[in-house]
Order: sequence, then C-alpha cells, then structure tokens
Amino acid sequence: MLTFDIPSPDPGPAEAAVVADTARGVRGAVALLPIDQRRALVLAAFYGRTAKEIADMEGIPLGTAKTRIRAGMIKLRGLLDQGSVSP
Amino acid sequence: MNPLSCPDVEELGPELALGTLPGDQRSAVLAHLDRCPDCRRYLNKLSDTADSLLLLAPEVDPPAGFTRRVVAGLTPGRRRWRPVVLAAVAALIFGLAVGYVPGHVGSGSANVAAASFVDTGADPGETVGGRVYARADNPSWVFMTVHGSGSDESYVCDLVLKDGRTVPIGSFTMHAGAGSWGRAVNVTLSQVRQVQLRDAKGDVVAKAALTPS
Repeated sequence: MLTFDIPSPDPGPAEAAVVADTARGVRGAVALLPIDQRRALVLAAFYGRTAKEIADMEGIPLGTAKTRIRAGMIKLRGLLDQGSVSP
Repeated sequence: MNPLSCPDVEELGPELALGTLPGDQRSAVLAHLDRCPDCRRYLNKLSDTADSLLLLAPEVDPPAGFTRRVVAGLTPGRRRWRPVVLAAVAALIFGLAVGYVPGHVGSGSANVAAASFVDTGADPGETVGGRVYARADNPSWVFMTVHGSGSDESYVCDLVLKDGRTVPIGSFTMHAGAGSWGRAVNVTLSQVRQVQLRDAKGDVVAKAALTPS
C-alpha cells in the first residue's frame, strides 16, 4: 500500500472547465495537421517510436520521417500559439 | 559524436522533446543545451508542445489506473508548473480507477507501481525529488512529476532492469524547477527494478525503486 504526501481534492468545476477547454484546443490543433505529420507525431508521442522506426513502419526514408515529426511539432506549436491554448 | 551546432539542435529538437531521440544524439543535444540559452528556449517551447499532446493520450490509448484524487496529489507543495494542466494530464493519462482508498493507490490495481525519487547527491548544487508511476499494460506507461532546485534542467530517464541492464526511455526539460513527463514504454514492467534520472553530464541525480501496489 502506497501513501501520498497530501490528500489533494478533486479539481473543481472551474478547473475542470479549463482542462476541458485546453484539451479541446489541442485536439483541434492536432486535427489541422496534415495526416502524415499527425501520424508521425502520434507514433512518436504515444508509442515512443523513433524516427527510424516510423520510417520503417511507413516505408519512407528516414529523412522524410524526421521532416514529418519536425514539421508537425512546429506547426502544432504555431497553432497552439494562435489559438492561445496553454499546453 | 562531434559537438552540435544550433541548426543541428533545431533539427533534432523535436525528437528530443518527444523523447524518441537515440541515446548518442540525445547526449550531444543535451550537451549543446547546457551551453546555449537560445536553444534551451527553443527546446522549452517544443517540450511544451510535446506536453500538450499528452492531453490527448486517452484518445489514442486509454490506460486505466489512478483516480483523479490520487493523481491530483502528485505534486505536494510544488504546484508551480501549470497545476491545472498537470493534474489534467495525469488524470487523463491514468484515467479513473475504482476501489481506491483516499491517500493510497488503488488496492485493485495490482499492475500499478509507484515510488518517490530519492536524490543521489551526485550534484551538490541540485536537489531532485518527485514521484514516478508505472502501469503494466499494452503498451505500458511510465509517468512522473519531478521537482528540483534548478530552473530549466534537462534529464534523461532510464529504466534499470532486474538483470542489470539500463534502458533509456526518453528525456524532458524542467520549467521553473518543476515538471511532469510520461510515455509509453516497450519494456515489461515486472522486470523493472528502478527508475532513474540522469543530468546532462550523465550523472544519476535521482532514483526510485518501483514497488507494485
């Protein structure tokens, strides 16, 4: 049995609303990415795939996989900034 | 590997922020960041972007595990880093659990492990602490909150296996002395003995022995 240092309460309604709004903004921004960039980011961020592994999985050159990751990250950053979404 | 230039770091930064940069390149980038404030700022922005993606983690691979209440207690007294989003990320990552005792990790979550980071004293100028959680699943997940006395330290996270092997799983950069980070891992968590953090010099600055709940 593991103990925690403080019994923190659940987020209140205001916090929950901010969270939901932030997640909605991020989701919208990701949806605006080209599908190849979106797929590369998801494979890297959630499945821990390296650019080399993504290149192998997608059947593309390593440089293309790296470009997709980089372009996706930079575009996502720009979209989040434009939308005033705080990641 | 030769020292990297700023354009090199600009090229590799996104993969470092996502935690997928291979070890030798990661070390080279971290060494560059140690001496280049402009690139540190660039990487901080990328890290924020990578962090934002975690908000969507459940839609991609919804793990189950911890309660919102438990996760909200991940950063006792150190809520300097986007507390609302931090709690949300953690809650979204680990989902809502059932059968928990307030103040404890759920008794029904036999495949969940948690531990506190213990500072090793490797860097006298930096004290690192925090909490790490791991859930055995497909894929398995590791999530941590970290605080330190430095401001924008970058750390590499390793899993130390019971057979003695050390498996780097990614890296992250702190913001104002605190931060959270997590990722899916291709490692059988029952084989993990310890989670450790290494600084830019490669020194192990904190370690946590995972204990199944």
